[in-house]
Amino acid sequence: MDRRRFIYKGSGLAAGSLMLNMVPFRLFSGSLKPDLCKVKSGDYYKATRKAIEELGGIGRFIPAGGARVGLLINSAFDEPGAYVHPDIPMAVLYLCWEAGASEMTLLQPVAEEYWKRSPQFSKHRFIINELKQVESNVFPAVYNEEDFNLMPIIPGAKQLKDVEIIRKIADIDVFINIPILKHHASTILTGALKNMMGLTTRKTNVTFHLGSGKRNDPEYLAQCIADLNLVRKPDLTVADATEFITGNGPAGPGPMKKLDLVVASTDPVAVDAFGATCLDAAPADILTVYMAYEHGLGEMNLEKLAVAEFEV
Amino acid sequence: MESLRFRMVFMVRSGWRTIRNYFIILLYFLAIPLQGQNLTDLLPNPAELPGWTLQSQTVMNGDELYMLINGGADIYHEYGFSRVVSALYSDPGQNVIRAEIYEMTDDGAAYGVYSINHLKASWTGEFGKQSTVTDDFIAFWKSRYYVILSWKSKKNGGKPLLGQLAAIIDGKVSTSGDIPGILGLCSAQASSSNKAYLRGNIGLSNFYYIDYRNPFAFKEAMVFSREDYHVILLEYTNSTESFENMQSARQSLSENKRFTDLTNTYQGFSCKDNKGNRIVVRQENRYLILLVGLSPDAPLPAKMEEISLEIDNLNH
Repeated sequence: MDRRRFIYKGSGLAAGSLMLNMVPFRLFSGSLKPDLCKVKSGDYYKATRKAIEELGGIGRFIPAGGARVGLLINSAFDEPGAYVHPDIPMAVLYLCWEAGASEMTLLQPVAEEYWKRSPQFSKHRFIINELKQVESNVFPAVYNEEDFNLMPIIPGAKQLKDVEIIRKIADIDVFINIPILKHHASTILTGALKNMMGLTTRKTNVTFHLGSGKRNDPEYLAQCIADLNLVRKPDLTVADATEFITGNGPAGPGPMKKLDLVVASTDPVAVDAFGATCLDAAPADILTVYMAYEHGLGEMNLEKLAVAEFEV
Repeated sequence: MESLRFRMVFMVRSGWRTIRNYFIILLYFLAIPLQGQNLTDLLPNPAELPGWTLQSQTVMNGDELYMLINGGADIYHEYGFSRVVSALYSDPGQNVIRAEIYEMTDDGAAYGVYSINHLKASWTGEFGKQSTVTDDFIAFWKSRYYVILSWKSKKNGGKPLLGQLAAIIDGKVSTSGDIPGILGLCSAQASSSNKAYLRGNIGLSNFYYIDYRNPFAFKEAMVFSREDYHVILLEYTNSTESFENMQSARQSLSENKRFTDLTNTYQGFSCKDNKGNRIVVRQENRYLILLVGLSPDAPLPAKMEEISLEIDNLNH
């Protein structure tokens, strides 16, 4: 039986995710892995661990013997629902540490104040204290030769060129992207794909908005975001859909929606396709999703994805 | 004789120069009110906030907004953005308040950005012309200013402190502000609903997503929601323009897979969106009325008649 059909049969079986927890999903523990894993819980730390476990476990991404891990966390906002709940990256960090990651680098610096928002902070302080950070990549990041590389051309890109991007992205073995799925005034959704703008200087990011020669050009902006994602596809995306703003994004404050979901996938397009539905939009409504799909970066058709759902 | 002629020409020329100079000076003074108040003067000074320190303040103009806002600057520019001051106030208890005052190009732009950002919130007249007040932030608009005050770090503060700050800024904005004329329409249908004012497709997409290409090619609109339907009223300069844009939008939607069941209706058309919501479009003079049903029972025909009649009455 085709695995996707099987999963959907499983989904059909279960009136709720709890049922899925019990019935067929242990079958994924072999070579069969879902494309996207959603875990519902009021405990976001536990939900994150479960999502990664069901995706094949952290060992799928971090081989024995250690690896250099780079993490990109959308943490630099002040309003709840605009930043990733810190329990989520904290759980990822712990799993990476447990798996024996030889080096963990925050590709965009994360303030200690952010980590302190989590009740888990004191327990994870020993890991956080050991993290490396690309210190100069803080908003509004300015190019410097030590930390940034100028990429005149991105192979396959349709619009984007002359990209100032952190050097570290080419110097890690495992790339983990940790966005929040939330509203954005220009792109409607900001999630995994747009979070990649956290790797580039402000000057580069401003060209996404103004580079076409006209203001408010959503097509150009989305194309630049899709193009940027060609630089390096994350090995793992863990997205926060626990509680997020559905208006006045990306900074908020704005109306909130609470789903208590943590989503994990190796496919950033699939994550954002799911993110579109969180904002009551169709994946094809979100230009970044569509253009990244056109680039072959992932699947935007949720019906074609093997989606596993759990509740813990 | 030659000398006398020269002197006369000189006197006439210098007279013109003097008039021209006075005119330039007059223009300068006339232009000052157009630039608005000095933005930093609108911020509370330390004497007005005992125990609080102005930690930092930054003024940014035009495209510099992209350097202040980490995403989301486009919508300010769509409405018409001039400059912003962003300031941080801190107290010894490690509370930090962020105050941002956006100077927009006109009152309508300030109302617009306030209304789309806080459409779903509860509005009061507590601060400025209209305000949204919560435990975590206060936002209001007044004159050409959109003000938002929020906690960057809250250890033991509360709403009263944000309110104190809001009241000071409110008091310093010397003029009140007028809302755009289109907001006077649909008063009966929109009773108790907040109305948002739009100047482009980013704003519309934040209310109801049609297409990123702005198929209706509007420059001004008003939107509001009722329990089971949305109202979108698009304004054009004349009925020819509204008709032509309706026709081109119809064509655009017919080529868009998100919309189905496209049929002609009285003075317009109807279709369904990808969620199965019925959309009805009608031209009424220089306006296009779009109603989006959010449930199968939404009373779209009756509401369309009411709104059409109100607009039609305006022209008689």
